[in-house]
Amino acid sequence: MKKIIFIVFILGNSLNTFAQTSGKVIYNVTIEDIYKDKTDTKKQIVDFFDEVRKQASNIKLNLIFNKKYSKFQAIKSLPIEGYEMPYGMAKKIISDGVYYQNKDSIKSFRHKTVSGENFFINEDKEIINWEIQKHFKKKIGAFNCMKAIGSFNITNSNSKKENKFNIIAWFTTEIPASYGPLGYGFLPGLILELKQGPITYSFKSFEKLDDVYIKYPKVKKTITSDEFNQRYISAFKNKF
Amino acid sequence: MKKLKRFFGVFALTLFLMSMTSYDIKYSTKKTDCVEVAFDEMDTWIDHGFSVGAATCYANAAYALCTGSSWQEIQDNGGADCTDW
Repeated sequence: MKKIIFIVFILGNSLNTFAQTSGKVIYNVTIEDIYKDKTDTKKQIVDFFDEVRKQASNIKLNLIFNKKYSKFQAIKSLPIEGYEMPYGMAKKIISDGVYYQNKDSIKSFRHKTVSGENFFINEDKEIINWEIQKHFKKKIGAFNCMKAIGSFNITNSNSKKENKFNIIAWFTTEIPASYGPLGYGFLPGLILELKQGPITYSFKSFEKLDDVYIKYPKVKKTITSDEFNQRYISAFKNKF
Repeated sequence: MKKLKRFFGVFALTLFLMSMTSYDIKYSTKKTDCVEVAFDEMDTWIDHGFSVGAATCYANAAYALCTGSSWQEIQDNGGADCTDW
């Protein structure tokens, strides 16, 4: 009888773990000093960036997910009076739009509305080849996490310079949902910490939910990152 | 006496025109330098993986900062241009 109770208990716990397909994760964010090695930059520019970094620490990000979709964005909050500009800039750095992932079609994209027009930007984040480093482990909150490294190429739409970034993700199989910040994911578990270049999204809290409704947009047409970025570059060049 | 007056008149006018020209050169050089700074900042940001929207936004601020305004002054004047194209 004792054995049966024990088996039921273990089975119950396992089912509970596997049932964690809906939930909400809150992330903090930090931005590294990108000017520490660029000593010829004007002091006003460096000082302003420091202020942007400080303001970023006041912003939280929210990832909600269910069996099919996830949605990631900055949580709406008000800036401290007198710091609206660095706050707005920080928000643009850490989440410039809303990121969606579709688990079934293994697809992720960024949604932005510009002058009333909807853009669904295909950033190819689903095609990253992750290398899971099983021997690197750490505990984040109450979860045991594993490290995964991926790389990502971004072409500078202005200078045409090709930049390769290493993406470091810490994910947990204890939450079997293949999502993460900024549309990264498609790993065997939820990403609780992610480092992309100088930006690190770190775990603050997790809430398991019975079901989460995500209004997944009807995407008729996507635009490539380069096409989308060219519009910014052209507009910027026309200003000067 | 008349000759002296004319001489000083021409001298003053020459000085005025010289100062205006030098101001123009100084101002336009400064402006050109700051355009370069703005583009340089935009490239720095994109090369670090920030979105192009964020990079152009920061580059606009960098231009204004470069011309001598503090970020508080830019903010008081409506902020940097961060509109999406």
